[in-house]
Amino acid sequence: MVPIVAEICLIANNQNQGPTYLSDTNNQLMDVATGTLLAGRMIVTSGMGNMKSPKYKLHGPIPVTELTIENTYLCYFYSLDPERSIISENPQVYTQIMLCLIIKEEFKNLINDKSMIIENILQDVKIHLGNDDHPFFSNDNVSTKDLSELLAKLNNCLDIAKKVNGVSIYEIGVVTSLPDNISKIAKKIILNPNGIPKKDIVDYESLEILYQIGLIRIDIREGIEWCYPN
Amino acid sequence: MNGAIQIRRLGNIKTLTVYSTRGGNGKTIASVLIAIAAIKRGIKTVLIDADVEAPSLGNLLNVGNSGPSWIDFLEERINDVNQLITDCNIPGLKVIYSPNPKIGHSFLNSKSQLWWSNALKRSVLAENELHKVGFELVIVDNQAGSSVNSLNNMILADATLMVIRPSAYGVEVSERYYNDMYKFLQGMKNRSDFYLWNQILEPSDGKEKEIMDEFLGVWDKKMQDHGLIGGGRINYNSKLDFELLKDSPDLIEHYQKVESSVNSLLDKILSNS
Repeated sequence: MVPIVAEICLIANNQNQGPTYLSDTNNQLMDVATGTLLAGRMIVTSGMGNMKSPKYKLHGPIPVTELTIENTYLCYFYSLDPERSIISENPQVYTQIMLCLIIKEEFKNLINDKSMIIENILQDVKIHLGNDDHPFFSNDNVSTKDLSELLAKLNNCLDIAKKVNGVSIYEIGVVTSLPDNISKIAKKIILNPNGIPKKDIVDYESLEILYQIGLIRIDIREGIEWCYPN
Repeated sequence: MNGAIQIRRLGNIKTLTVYSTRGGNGKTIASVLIAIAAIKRGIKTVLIDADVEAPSLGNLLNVGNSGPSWIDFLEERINDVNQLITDCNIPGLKVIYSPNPKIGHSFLNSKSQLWWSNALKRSVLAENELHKVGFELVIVDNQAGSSVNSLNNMILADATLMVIRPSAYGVEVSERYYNDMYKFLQGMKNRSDFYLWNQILEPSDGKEKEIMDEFLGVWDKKMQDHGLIGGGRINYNSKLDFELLKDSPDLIEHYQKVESSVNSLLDKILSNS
């Protein structure tokens, strides 16, 4: 499977010192011709992303200039809510924390179509920056792990969303194409057109993916969360 | 009945989908026979003709094909399942029929994926509602072969019954069908899957008997290796074929001939609750 999102970088913008590259998933994306590391390029690009990036909305695509890594890459930026999303002793020192999603150009339309799914996932993301008071010091091991998990989750959701493409959960060909753990939950929800309490579904992670890709909806009825097939 | 104790308790088996991998194996007659056996035990039963592209139950049981049909429910013209239920020429048996499709009309070959996905949602709703309004056993007479419709109807099932005639080409298809269909159905309902040998020809001599016994033995093993439960055997009945030439065939008479086999099958199905 070709990953839709190739890399995620974490960038801090500080009004005094400009954008600072904090971390990535350590996929080692670099321009082999020039030896330019992605990190260096992202700092430049993030300046452009920062100018117009509204908070909690995916902003892009912005071309990754002068970087040729077999394919043409594009950047999408998303500004995190520092208070809710960043666990750090001193989150307020960052003017803005941005996630930069790097995708191959061929997936541009998909990313644009599914931006709401991506925003929903990013809205709840938690990135650990470490405990150091220094504003630009990150605990790479922690944030790299968080970003890697986020990358896997995004790609999993986008890959499924690509297959699902807005159809009903009752389109059984689609349900067949889902990974087994997600298909299992989908099948359970199919059999409950009038809804099933969320607590009756053990695998919340698969449930969340079904929710993100629009195959189910979750409503509160009499104080209880219920899952309904779409 | 032979005075034998018959199982009435249904447990988890509330919906039985009867299917075959190709037409002519006798699944509709088998569905009716099981329904008769169930109502004779006092089990409140409804039989749905879900073979929407080649329905036969309405004609077979003299339903009349005029009131609200299964298609009316699937296409959301009717929402109350009670309006679908009709009597037939077998006392006590309730039926939901499907109308004969109009060739060239908007019906055949034109149903979209959306139609079928909505049909599945409506089928699940109907199945839930039929149990809510008091039907203890819903028997779904499925479409033969593999299609979205046949898969939709399998999804409803707490138990499935594959009706097969002894013929090499027929059972080989059944085996492939079984592999594909049941792979998808895994994780749906906790289901028991049965098979029934139907229309078994009477051997005319010892050699033919040997061939038939060997064939059935080999395929019994294969089916059971796949996890299917043997539901028994019903012999070919030429009198039934002649009866089916009539407008209003007497299926009760045929039932009486095979009552013991059908009751044994129903016992197996219900005891797997």
